[in-house]
Amino acid sequence: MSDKIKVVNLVGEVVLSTIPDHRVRIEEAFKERSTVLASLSQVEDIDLFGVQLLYAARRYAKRTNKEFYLTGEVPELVARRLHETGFVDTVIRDGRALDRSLHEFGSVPQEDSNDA
Amino acid sequence: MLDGFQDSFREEAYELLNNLEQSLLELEERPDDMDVISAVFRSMHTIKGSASMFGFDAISQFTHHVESMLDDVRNGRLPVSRPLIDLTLEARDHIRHMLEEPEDPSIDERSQRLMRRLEEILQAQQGERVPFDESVTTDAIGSDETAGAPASGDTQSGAGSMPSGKNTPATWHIRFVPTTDIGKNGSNPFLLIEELHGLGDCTVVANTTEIPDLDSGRLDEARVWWDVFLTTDQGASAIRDVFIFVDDRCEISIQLIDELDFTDEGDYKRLGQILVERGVVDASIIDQAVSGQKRLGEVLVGQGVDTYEVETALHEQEHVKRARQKAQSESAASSIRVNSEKLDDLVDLVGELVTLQARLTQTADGVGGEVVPISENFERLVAALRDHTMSIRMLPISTSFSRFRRLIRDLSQDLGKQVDLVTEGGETELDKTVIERLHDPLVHIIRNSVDHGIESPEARRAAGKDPMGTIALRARHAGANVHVRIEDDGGGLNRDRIRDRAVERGIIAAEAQMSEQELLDLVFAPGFSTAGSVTTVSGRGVGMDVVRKEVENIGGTVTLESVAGAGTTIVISIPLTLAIIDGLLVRIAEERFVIPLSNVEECIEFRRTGVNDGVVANRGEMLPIVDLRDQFGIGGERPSIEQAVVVQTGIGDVGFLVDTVIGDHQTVIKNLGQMYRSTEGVSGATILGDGDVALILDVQRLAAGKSNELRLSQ
Repeated sequence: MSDKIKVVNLVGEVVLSTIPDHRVRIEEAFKERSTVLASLSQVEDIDLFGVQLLYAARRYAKRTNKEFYLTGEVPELVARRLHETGFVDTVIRDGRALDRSLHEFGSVPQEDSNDA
Repeated sequence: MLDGFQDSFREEAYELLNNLEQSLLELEERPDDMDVISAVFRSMHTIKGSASMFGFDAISQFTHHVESMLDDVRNGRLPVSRPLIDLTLEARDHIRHMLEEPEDPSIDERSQRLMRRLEEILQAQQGERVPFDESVTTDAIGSDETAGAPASGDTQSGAGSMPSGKNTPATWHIRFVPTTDIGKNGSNPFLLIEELHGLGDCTVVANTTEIPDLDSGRLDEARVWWDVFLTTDQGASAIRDVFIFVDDRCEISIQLIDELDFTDEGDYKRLGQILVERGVVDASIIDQAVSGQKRLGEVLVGQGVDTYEVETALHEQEHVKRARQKAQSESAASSIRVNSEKLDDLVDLVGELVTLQARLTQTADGVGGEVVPISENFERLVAALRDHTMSIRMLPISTSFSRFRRLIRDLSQDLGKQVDLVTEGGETELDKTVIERLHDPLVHIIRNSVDHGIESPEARRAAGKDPMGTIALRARHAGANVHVRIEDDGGGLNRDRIRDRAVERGIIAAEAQMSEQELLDLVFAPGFSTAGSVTTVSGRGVGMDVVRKEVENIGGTVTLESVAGAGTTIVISIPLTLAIIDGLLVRIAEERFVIPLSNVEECIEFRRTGVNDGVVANRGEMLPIVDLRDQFGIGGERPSIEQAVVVQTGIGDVGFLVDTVIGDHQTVIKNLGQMYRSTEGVSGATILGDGDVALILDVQRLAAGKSNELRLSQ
């Protein structure tokens, strides 16, 4: 594994109540490496705030010239939920493919990019 | 080719106009029912669209005006009123006339007159109109800021003005913008969206543009909002209910974007049209963009148009297109429209097959051997084919009942009476031809009930009755027949007046002794009428005798019950079908006849004793006899024991004397030629297995003749 890359395994529920913990782990990973991969394979559940965390991490990476990607096999529940709630057009079980397909995942919001 | 389509359009339009009439009458009773309003609009909208498509321009243009008015009703800008319903009913009648008499030179003038009246109604309501913007109802907005979505007023119409309840599938655009603090009270927006999926086919697009950065410190705020395209038959209220527990923590707009009807094709609005309608871009920008070779979406995004708006418009386009294609394929799979003449041809062919099968069976019985089982299998197949074919022609009698609602409404208005129509058993099926031929007798009976049966509101009050009278139409199966009851709770028949009138008209002798029922039956006598005056509604010289004759012509019977002061009930019993019936084959000398089996009660032996030979004893009752040998002038020796076939008729049970009862027979009814059509006592003919012809007896007519004979002899 490249010494520039850090994999963060998101384990259990990625929901409003657990967001602070997951956020800290991702922020720490960015402090250590310029590229962070978030593995979704052990995510048991995800809600709106969990999805927002993934987008926020990607936007942070872009703004700070770092990289953030999704990886790992996407659990069926998570894949279906992301599709049903309109973040992706089909049910995608592969993390890398999901990374490329999430709507506006790579884009930087207008307001934030201006701040940068 | 186009003629074929135009015929299809006419058929469809008649059906839609009938639906429209029913919906309007329902609307009169429930003026606030958005489902009914929506149904009225849909019917008119579909007629307009199809008329235009098939070149009925005058209808399309006229319907457009009515549709516009109904659109105002649908959107809450115009209240439902009696004049509005009256006028829409008139417009409906006018459209029907335009279909039936397209060359009528008065059509244009009448269209203009109706359109002026439409305009008058619109102008009269102008002062009371609710401004369109005020009809937009977006639900409450939470105390906190929302995630930067366009203001709710940007959406064109709100949930409050939408049709609700289970109805034709429609596609809705729902914009769901949660407040940023929605998560703090435990609400999960994902679950709400999943609930929408439960209502129908959903396309969901999440707007993620407002999601903040990792270090923003705002990750516990909801910063996503959604556009959902939902195709459902559940209506706006069901959609609103999904958000009922978070209505103070989100902003919702629900907009109807597509109603699925049969004129819809797969294609939907173009991308540019959607964006212009949403107010995202000006039409001029679209015109400019489409002049290039690139895809419109790419061009617009390149020009700085919001990517999300373009993507959402594309999703809308894709969703509606898919929903329309699905609706069309489902519709095509579930039913097809067939010209009724083709069905008649099919029934004729099946009739020929049944006749041929009878011949085959007879031949096989004579030949024996291997042909017999083949013949039996063939017989089974033919019977199944016959049943299936006949079932295709069956229609629910509600198609006839529903037309009387308008009749009763108009009649009661003309006569200043209040009459409610109750129907029951509308799902009872009858052959299409029977339903058609039953229509006129029913119209006559109902006219009589409204005109002479139901009293004026004042008279009813004085009699301690509800000022609103009731006419009930009830249908039910009874063996191979259907019984249709027409009941009214009016004044009932006055037997003394009936007797006086019958004597006055020379129908009975002044001293004639008659039972209560026989007195009532006099109203069916030719020339009898108890109406004191001739009105425009009934009493035109066409009496109940014509009703009975019409019903008997379709092999039915009519009976009447009445209680003075409480009302009258007329029961019509009619066969399920007129094409192929089960018959009882009988023989007199060398002649064979068919008696419709549906009326046969039993067969009993009859021995002549020289005393009381004009009646036959059956279960302790003396029944009148119709001697068919005498009736048809057939010579030859009578057998020592004759057979009396006991048949239920309008005058009660009657025995029909024959030499031999051969057995049951699948009877394909053939019309008699012009020369024999008026032959008394014969309703048709059928071809037997050996190729001979047998006459089908009109037992009702024969029994009525016997009844008259007995009455005159008294």
